[in-house]
Amino acid sequence: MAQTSTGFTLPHPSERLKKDMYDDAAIPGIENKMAFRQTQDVPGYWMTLDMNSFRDINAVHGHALGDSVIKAVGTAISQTILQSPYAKKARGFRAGGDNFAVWAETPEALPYLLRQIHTRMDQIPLIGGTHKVSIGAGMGRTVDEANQSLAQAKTTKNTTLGPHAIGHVTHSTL
Amino acid sequence: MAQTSTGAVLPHAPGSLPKFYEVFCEIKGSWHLAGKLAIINGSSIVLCDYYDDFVESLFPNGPVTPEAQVRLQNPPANVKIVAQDDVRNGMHLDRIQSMSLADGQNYQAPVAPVVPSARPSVFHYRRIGMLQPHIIEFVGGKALLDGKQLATDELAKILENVSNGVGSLRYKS
Repeated sequence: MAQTSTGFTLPHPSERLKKDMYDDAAIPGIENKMAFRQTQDVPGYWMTLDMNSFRDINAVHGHALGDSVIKAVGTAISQTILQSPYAKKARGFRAGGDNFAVWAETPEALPYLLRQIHTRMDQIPLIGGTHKVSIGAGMGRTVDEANQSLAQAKTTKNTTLGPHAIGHVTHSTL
Repeated sequence: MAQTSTGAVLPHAPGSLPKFYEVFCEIKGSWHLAGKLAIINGSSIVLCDYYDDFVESLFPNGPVTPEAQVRLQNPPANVKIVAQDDVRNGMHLDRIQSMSLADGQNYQAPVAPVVPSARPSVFHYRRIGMLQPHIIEFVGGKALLDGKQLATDELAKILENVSNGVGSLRYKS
């Protein structure tokens, strides 16, 4: 960061370039699909999340409201990470439309972050007075493991401890 | 390849700046951000893709094909492509985020850094031949000698005396 004579701070061009390359285009504090792909080989633990019944929100209330809901969920994830004890040991990604992922250096971070995300999302009002925003989550040592846990949890629609669960809750209807 | 602080790898050589584009698609009459891509050294890289692989289907990762080049210049009817530089240069005001008046109430104006107050501009002026020093003050853009305003040429003479060593100026303690 470069400081001007008046004390204001300007982003260094390379920092802006990094943001352009790796930040999500719509949600501040969330990294994009490209960063998500590049991080998959970094040692750590993964939680993948996606929204339940998101297509219903789009179909009933329109894509503009759907976009707002995704932004609210992404912001809940980014703010949760930023304000947690794991701020420097966890990262949030948007892998696709309503697909998010969280990488953490240590396994205990993920259930903690999930609970906090849950708390934040409880504050999101009913969408159009009808739809409660909820997400499914799966955890694992890799993205594939996390996705398998997520798929399993979505199928059973229960909070379960799946085989890929790194010993924690694999799914939560938030 | 350059590595960032987070361990991510920048896929371009220093000096070859990428160009970024936001891709919008029309759904039921309204435009929605569908993703973002970068063109680096003639190659396309999809950075965000929000509607399955919509952006990647238009601009596959890898060297920009002639078809993709045409789409970039003349996108299909339900697609709009906006160069990020153009947004930053104010050519797409619709891409500037709106702010409600309620948001404005929480706006925190930047605070100027605190500058320590300077010592009062009051000096002792001594010159060879003077029995005691005189007091020179600079107040409100004026120079005063023992409380009496100096003319420009008088002040110039004093400064000339100081610069060639005949006189001296010291802060009044």
